[in-house]
Amino acid sequence: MPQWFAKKIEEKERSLYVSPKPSECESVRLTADAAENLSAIRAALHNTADFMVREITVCGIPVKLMMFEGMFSLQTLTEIILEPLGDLTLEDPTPQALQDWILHRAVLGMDQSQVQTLGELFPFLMSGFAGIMIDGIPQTIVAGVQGFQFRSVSEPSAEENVRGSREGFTEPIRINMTMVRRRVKSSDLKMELLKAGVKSKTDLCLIYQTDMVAPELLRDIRRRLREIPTDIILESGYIQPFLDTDIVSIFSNVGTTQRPDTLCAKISEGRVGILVDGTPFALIVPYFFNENFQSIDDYTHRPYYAVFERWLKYLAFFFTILLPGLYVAVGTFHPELFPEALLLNVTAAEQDVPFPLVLEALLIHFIYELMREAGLRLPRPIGHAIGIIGALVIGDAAVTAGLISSPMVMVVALTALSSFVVPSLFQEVTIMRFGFIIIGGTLGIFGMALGLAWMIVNLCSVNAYGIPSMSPESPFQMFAMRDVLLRVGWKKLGRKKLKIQNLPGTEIESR
Amino acid sequence: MKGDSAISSWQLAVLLFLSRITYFFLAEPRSEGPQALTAAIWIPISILANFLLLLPAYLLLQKNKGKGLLDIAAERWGRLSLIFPAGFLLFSVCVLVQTACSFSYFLTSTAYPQSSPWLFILLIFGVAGYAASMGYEPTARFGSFVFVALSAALLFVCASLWPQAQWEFLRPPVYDGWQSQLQLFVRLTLGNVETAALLFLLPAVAKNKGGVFWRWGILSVVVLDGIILFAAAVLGDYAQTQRFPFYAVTKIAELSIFQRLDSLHVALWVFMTLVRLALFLEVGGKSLARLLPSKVSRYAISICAAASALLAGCLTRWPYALERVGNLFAGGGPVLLLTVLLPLLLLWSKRKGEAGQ
Repeated sequence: MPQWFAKKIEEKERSLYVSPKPSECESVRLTADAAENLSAIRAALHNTADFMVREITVCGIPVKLMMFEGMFSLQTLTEIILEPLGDLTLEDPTPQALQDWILHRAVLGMDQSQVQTLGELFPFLMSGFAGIMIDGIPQTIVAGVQGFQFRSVSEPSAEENVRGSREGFTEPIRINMTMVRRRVKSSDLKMELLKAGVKSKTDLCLIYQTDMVAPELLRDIRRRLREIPTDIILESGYIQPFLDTDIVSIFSNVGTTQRPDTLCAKISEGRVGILVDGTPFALIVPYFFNENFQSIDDYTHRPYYAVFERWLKYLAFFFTILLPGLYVAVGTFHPELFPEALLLNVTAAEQDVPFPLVLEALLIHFIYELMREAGLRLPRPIGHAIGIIGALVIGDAAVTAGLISSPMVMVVALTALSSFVVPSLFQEVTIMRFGFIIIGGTLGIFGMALGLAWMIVNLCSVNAYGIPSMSPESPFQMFAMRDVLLRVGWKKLGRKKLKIQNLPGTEIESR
Repeated sequence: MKGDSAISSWQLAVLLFLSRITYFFLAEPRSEGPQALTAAIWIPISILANFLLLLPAYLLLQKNKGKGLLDIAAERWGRLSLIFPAGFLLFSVCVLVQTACSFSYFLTSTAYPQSSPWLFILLIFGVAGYAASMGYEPTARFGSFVFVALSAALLFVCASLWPQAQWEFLRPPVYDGWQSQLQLFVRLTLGNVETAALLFLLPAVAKNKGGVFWRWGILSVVVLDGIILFAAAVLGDYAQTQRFPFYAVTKIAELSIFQRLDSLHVALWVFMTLVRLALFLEVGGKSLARLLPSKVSRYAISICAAASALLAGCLTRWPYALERVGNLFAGGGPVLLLTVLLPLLLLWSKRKGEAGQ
């Protein structure tokens, strides 16, 4: 039966989707005839409108300059290519001599390479390089003259901090790489450029510290990235599922950050950072559950306050997933748990509400999610207006109309507030919250306990690249706990470094 | 089913301890109360007796490092060795059924009087089956969290009820006569089903296998003695009227404005029961996998969970049958057979084989 089902699904898939394939022209080699090459390039690009060619003559040799519109800086192009070539006088003007001069004597910027096929040429041109094709040479020289527009470096919107750097990653990968390099001026910091995406050929950059990372971890990540079958990669979220080691878990073992300082801190513990061109969200592999509760501010504040903040985050996490469900469960099945005075208040408030507690909780959370989503997608001024409408509708009108009770409004408000304390777990907690409301309303405390147990087992079953995701809480290790439930001072924390592959229960070999 | 990797000796000790304490909470609640002081004395003695009984099996495992009892038996006895997985399977199913029935009885008689026991049995077996199918490691890690929660809950209950404890409620050890003393000793020693689980799971421990028993033993003695004595000192003769005395203790524990916390303790006991069920589902599932053809052996844990749930659900209607199962374990026969007699036989046959060579 499952085989028959799988076959049917495969058939359906085949009729709807096509597997990504690389373009056939990519393996075409360049010849010594520049005109012939140009025709092949134009044909391969289907005469696209943004492909530009400038034909010049240098010392009597025809040269073709190729670029994509809007991708290059005219000033850089003039300074490093057009002017030097215009002033050039060769004693023996042959195509080979011109190529040697460009390659070895001219200073065409720092990014310079030679390509021999269209498949090699196109990613350069489409990244803002200029292609210099000399008639009589079966290769093309590419030089970096990038000048496309991009968002400047700014404070990361999703990871703001009180103290510390205000720099966040931006879209171009090269700028992000420099932001990391500026922070770790070590010879052990290595950056490795890869490409992913059958069509998009998106630049990826693996960043790690050679003295800290486990070779096995690195090998596994490289293999996974190589095997990504997707045709277009527009964001790091596209490759995140391919790096997740456990597909059945609701929690991811790949983290994201917009902050170069956070990425540097993570790779200094033996993790691998992955920058993806076109997105300010870098990936961190592997990422443990407790890391969701850490922020850069924890390390700049005094230890006692950092510990307080961390406990607050753990408390907020449990509040946001359990509080509405617990309220529903207690109110429906175990009202004796409420203190007497509170029980009277809750009973009085719920008396006029026409819905059962579970339905009331689901309804109000649904409305809250609707408003949150609407506020998120709309332009900011309208988003604010949505917030005001929501507060008025839910906070006042709905209570007055007797649709919901005031204690429930309090519960939702507290839950919503708590969910923003740990933003990296926002997706998970939103879904789990609904789940716990339904379980609490149908099975009471027993169901809540079962649900929580399932969640913990699910978390405990995740082995991110051979390292338990719940480490160092379980399997327990005292040394590593100093930066989990506690955050000891820098005098102690800075003395010895944690290597993630040394955590208990780890299956990968340390080095 | 995921591949199993090694667990630490502490993790296994905690799992066994949680399983043992669940039994005391759910299946053996009447040991508290009148015989509290007697039980408190016999618990450490029974642990020592367990140690002596397990010695031959432990020696056998030590001689065959990295192999479990089932592997050793398969090497020596061929097809006859199937008696081992069959024995462990039957044993596990009985423990699972007894635990699930006691748990559903506990819930339907305290927090959910109008619900069907089937609901609780099916749901808890569903989650326990999920945990067991994930392998030893996730269950062991989950057990660590439950252990912390249990410790916190016990400390809280003890702190809140300490002023109400009256130690004169504890009766002298020989108050109920020597015959009951002997029965209690047999029940505590040979009724300790966790010893079979210990033997089964010991090869999964990475290092310091010998430490598992002592860690488990010390934890059990300290916590069980503490709970039994404290419950008796708080409840006195009232404990005799209670089917679940420790639940009665939590009912009268108060924290500031919260006057009743028994439902929250129910949540904790759900966790503990899950650990016990997952532990014995591991044992039962792995044993069943040896008996099934390789094509279906990967569903062994699910089959074991489904069969146990069905049996448990049916047995809730026949409490006498359930009592018989309880008496069978209390008599010590199954534990003696699996942890002493069969390993001794295996050891003897191995010695004989070595002497023959």
